Amino acid sequence: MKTRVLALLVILALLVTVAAQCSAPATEAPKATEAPKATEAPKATEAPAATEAPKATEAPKATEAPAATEAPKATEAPKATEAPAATEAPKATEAPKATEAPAATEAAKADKPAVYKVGFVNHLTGDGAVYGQSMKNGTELAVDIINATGGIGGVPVEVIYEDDRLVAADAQTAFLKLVESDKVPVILGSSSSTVSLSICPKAQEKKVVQVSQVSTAPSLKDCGKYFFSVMASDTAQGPEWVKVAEALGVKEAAVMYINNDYGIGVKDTFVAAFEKAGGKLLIVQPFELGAKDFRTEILKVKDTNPKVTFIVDHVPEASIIFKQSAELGFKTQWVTDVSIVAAEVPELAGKEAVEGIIGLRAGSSQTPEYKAFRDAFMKKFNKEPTIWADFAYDAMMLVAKAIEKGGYTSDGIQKALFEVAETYVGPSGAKKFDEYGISQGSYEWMTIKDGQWVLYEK
Amino acid sequence: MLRYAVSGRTSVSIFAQLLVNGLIAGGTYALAAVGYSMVYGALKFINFAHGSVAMVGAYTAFVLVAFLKLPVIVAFLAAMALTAVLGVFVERVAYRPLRRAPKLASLTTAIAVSFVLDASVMILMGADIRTFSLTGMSSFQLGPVFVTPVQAAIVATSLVFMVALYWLLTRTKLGKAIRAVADGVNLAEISGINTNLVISSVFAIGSALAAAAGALIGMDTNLQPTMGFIITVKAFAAVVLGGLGNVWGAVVGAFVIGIAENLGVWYIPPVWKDSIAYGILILVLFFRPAGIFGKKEEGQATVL
Repeated sequence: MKTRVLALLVILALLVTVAAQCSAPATEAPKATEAPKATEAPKATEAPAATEAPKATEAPKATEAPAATEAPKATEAPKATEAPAATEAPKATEAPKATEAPAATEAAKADKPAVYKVGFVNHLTGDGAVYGQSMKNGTELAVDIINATGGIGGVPVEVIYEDDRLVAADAQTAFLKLVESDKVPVILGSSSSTVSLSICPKAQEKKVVQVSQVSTAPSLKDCGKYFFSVMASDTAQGPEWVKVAEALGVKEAAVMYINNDYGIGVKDTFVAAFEKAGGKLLIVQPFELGAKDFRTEILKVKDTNPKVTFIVDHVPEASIIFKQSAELGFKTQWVTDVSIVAAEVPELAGKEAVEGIIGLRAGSSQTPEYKAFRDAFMKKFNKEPTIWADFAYDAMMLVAKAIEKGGYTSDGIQKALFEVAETYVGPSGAKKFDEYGISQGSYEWMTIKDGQWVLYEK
Repeated sequence: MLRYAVSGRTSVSIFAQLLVNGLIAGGTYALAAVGYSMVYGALKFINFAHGSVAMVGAYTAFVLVAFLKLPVIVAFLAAMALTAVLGVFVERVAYRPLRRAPKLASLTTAIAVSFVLDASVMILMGADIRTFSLTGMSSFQLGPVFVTPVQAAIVATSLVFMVALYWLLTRTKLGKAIRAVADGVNLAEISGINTNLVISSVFAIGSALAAAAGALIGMDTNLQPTMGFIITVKAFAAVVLGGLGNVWGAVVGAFVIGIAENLGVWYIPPVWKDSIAYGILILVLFFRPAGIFGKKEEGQATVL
């Protein structure tokens, strides 16, 4: 009898855990901006773009000894921004020297600790590890480059990495540890919008600047003045999918979406835009985060014979869905959201299962800034840049520039972030913040060819 | 939403595919559930580390295939053997010292063991998702049903191991000893049975089967250090449904849950998938509090 009671108690406990698992997880939502902006923004900022990229690495030098900048730049900076450095170097040293450098030196001199500590909270383990580890890669690369080129006004940067396992409560604990014990005025992270949102009120309360790399839920804009995100917050992925449908010449399509805030958001905007454009949806099929068996869901979609299937998902689940679809003989043209354009997908799903799928990618892989970043990343990690590492890199670079300009205090950084982002263009694009501290962005279309993501030729 | 959610027709071919998918899922649950159930039968405690042991088995097989380049079958059997050793070790270190303590103590230790195992694998192998990348695994068609070699192996392996286990429990001396211990440790001891050895064997067999389940799930989908939790959850449901401590109940429970989940998701949104398993469980417990094959009173749970 006692055993039975115990067993039932355990069941209850399990149910609660399962429910918590289901409701809490991942909602990071990489979304770039509206398409029009995509084409306009880069054009408008092209010139400053070129000048800004090198500045990211040089500015610290420039403040101390402009003459000395040249030598180290030749040896170290190229790692980061080879292409731009070579072509735009003169401009880079001129502009900042005249306008920003003096201000920066004053601010930095005010109080100079031995090291500038920056906090980092992300999903280093658990279901979101693909994204968290990638954010860590991008941040590490940025720190290497900052410190190799003299740190921030001579002071090196140290990032303290904390894991939130894609769990809101863990993120709050990690945040408090960073703020109370390490006394950081600024933290990077998290990736998932849900997790970022859970830290945000605490960050406002403690007056700590929070710079998320890829959180994009629209509700983040109401978070408060200490919140920033370097990935665009909008719902433009749906309309972008409609463009893909038009390019593919289809009027009928199926949709599969991961059942969390992010998936529902993208699905809703697509359904609305697609139906408005005269499209017909054959089926709109949800599936669950963290599941491993999607065969029934796939069969339901297969049963409607869609020529094109749009899917919004995360890497672990998407890989299984592509694999199981191939196993079940489901042939369709997959079109994915931005979270799936990662090298892990062909590795995990198997090359044959994902050959020819189309995916949206946030930012552009064709800019000189991205190409220089890619070279530096490959040199350090010996592999292609992991998903959104360029966004993590830019977040760290912006924070470094803001510390230099505004000083090592929350309010200094908060103010300076707006100013330094005004003209900054990094590997993930132009990062100018709107009034809510959110950057803009664009997409490009990618496809998998021989197991590699490459640009899609329309 | 709802207007797309219900598909108009359910043809025979789709029903067949759903049924097969349910058998595949049930096969993995069954392999995991049997070990779980044997441990309960022998020690009367719920081994919450069982899923994590399965996860370690999956990673062991993965390391043997990916890094030591062993053939898949060899790696699979070696992983079962190595995980059996791990199971015995865990019992010796974490459970045996607490054998006379209240069952809640062992239960807590089991949860701790699962955390230790998950964290160890995470440190050793990283948190990344891994995959076996088996080649030549494209599916073949049996009538209207698509099956991959791994999926066929899942069903075949679970059936073969169930038969082997039946033979072991009913026809061998060790099997008799295991059943005797399950009936009552003290009585078995008085009868001259080396209960420590028997309990170690139970953990060895259970862990080996868990490793088989983990490795097959890993080959069918992918590997993550956190994959143990969901295995524990499903196996637990199967075991309680079938009757705690009853091996055949666990097998039946596993297949019932696997099939019900796959058929159920055809008609209802997948968010309810895990609720299906636990919904059935609660319904059955209403009418048969000890599970489908369970004995009524505590202490009477037997392995067979």
